[in-house]
Amino acid sequence: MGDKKLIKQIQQGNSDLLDVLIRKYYKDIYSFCFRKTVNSNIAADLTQEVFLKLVHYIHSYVHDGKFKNYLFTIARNVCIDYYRKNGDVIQFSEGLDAPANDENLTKVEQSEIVMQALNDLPDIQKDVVLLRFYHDMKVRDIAEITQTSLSTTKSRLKQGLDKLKKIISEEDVF
Amino acid sequence: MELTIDKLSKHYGDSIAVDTFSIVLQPGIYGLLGANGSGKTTLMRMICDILKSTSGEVKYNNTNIKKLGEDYRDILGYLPQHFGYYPDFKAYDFLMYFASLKGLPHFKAKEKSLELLEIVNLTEVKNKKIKSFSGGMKQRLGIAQAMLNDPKILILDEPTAGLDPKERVRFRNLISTFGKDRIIILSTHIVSDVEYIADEIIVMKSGQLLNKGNVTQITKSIEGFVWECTVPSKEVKYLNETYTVSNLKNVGDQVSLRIIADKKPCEGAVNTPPNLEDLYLYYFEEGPAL
Amino acid sequence: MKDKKVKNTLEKYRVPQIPNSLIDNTVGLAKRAFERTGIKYEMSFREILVGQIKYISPSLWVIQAALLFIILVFLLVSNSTHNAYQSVITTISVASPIIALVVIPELAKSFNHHVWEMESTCKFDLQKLLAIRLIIIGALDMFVITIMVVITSTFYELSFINISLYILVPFNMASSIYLYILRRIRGKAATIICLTVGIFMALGVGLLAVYSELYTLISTFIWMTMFIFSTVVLVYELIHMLKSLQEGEKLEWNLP
Repeated sequence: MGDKKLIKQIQQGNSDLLDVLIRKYYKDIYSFCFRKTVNSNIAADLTQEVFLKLVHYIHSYVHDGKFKNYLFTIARNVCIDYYRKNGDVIQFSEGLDAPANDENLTKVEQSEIVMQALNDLPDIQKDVVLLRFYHDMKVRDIAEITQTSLSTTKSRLKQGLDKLKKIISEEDVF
Repeated sequence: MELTIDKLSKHYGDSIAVDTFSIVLQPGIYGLLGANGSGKTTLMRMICDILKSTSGEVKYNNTNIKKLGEDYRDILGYLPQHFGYYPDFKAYDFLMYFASLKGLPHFKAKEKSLELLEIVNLTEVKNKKIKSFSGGMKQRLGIAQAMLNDPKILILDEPTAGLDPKERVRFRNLISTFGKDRIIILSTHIVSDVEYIADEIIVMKSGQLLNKGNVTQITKSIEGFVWECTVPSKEVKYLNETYTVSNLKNVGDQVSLRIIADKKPCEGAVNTPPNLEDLYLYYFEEGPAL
Repeated sequence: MKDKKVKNTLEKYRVPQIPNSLIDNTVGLAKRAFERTGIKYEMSFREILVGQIKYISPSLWVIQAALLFIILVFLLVSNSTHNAYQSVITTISVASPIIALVVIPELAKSFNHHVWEMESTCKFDLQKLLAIRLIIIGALDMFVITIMVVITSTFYELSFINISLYILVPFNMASSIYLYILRRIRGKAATIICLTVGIFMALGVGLLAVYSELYTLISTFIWMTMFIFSTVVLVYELIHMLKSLQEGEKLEWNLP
């Protein structure tokens, strides 16, 4: 069943399909929130908030385009609100633990370097990069989610990527 | 939530069906009691806005229901005294059809129709043509129809007509559990239908509001008019012809009578506390029973 | 560094697994929150319209289809009669009041089966319901008429416009009369009167069409005028019928 039909039925009161809809997008939203906060507990909380917000708005939702965009718009706003309340401090909850052999070590190292590199980006560039590369979104959709023009989004993407390339190429683990 | 009926009248030519009827209703169950032709149906139709009043108005939360229009109908459930169905309809179709007119989205309509079929005990026959139903089954389906949109105002015109005693009990239970935070008006000329479930009884005669209140309050108005006496059986005929007799039972070779009369009907008669049945007879028994 | 390389590098940043219990927890909370919200779903007009199609009596579709079949047989057989032209004119003239007639029971059914009282108290009241039924029925009639026009103009040397007028003028007039009767008289009597009037009308128009020269003698301009006039009358009747449904008084008076 497509999103449009799912939502229509949910709007008619079918709560079982709300279940289906949430499970369909849970991991997507969770990973977005995780990469924004780098803390799995906070990410889970924020993800929950996103879906509760969705429930709150779903009756007035009008399907015009992609539901995914709508959901990510909520997710992004939830994250922005979180930082507004808690300051721009990233609380690392855990190391990305893995068994300590050489190969894994490299993987963990690599992951941490990317994480660090992403966190060094300004939020506006980070959002664009996250949506583009981890959620496979088109620039047009990203512009819609971040409520900016297509050209601004494009230039943010380019600036973000250039910075990333610079940071990453300084490391020699890749 | 408040339903105000303000000096409502309905004239048909020279005859007056409802005569400057005024009442304010808060959430609760109201039993509208009256003999046939006392204007109950006309009053209910005007409350449902399917009949224009000659004068006066009906207001929901202080707004005229005509002005509310669709919004009023959205919270209204109505079971007419005589109602029909389309000949090709099955029970489930009937409910789905009305659910669609009441603006229930398809999913909700299905859920609610099945739930109500279960409540009125028609699940087993949901795919049978209504044509094949007994009077009681049709009536139960009609009641389900009125409840589809979870109405805040539920108006049932003679809902127990055609129901057997077991169905009547079920109906009373249904209404008393449904009754919270709603205004439910049900008309009847059978006292026992409303005696125990109605919060308030409204007595209507010749289009006018005669009396209203809970059972204790309104029966008080005829205190001193109900008598009990035990007489030899040969005197029964005379008493029966002269007075309104609400109950009669044989005690050995004597007969114990319950009589409604302004004055002491016979030697040895003692006053007894009135019940709703007595009240009904007092108001609607014209002259002595034959 | 190419974008592809960046992508590969970025992919090395993985998100930790999320326990299913957390997902279940969120789903549960959301469902409970959802159940507390009231449904505000408003059906679109299209949904209401489509929803009502299945409540049109099945007999109407059957009768209309049968009628169309009979008309087509007559139209095609006319080809081999000695006066094909007259035969065609007669067929379409007789057919049009009947096409309008077969939908009458559908319009009157709320009253015939005493369902109107319940329908009147629904959110979409009797007026809206009948308007929707009229749209469905009107579309069906137009479909049948279009087929007749197309077939006739394909097989006979008659212009598309002329045939349309020959069908639509009696159709409009007949419909107006039926609606007038329905508005004035309710209950089963109305349907019976409509049936009687309809049959006489079909016969009358049929007789007129025997003198088919009349049809060609009258100029297209006059036909056009008659069409416009009859359409205006029909629209007037439609509006009046819908308006009359709000007058509980009259509905009440004419019913048992």
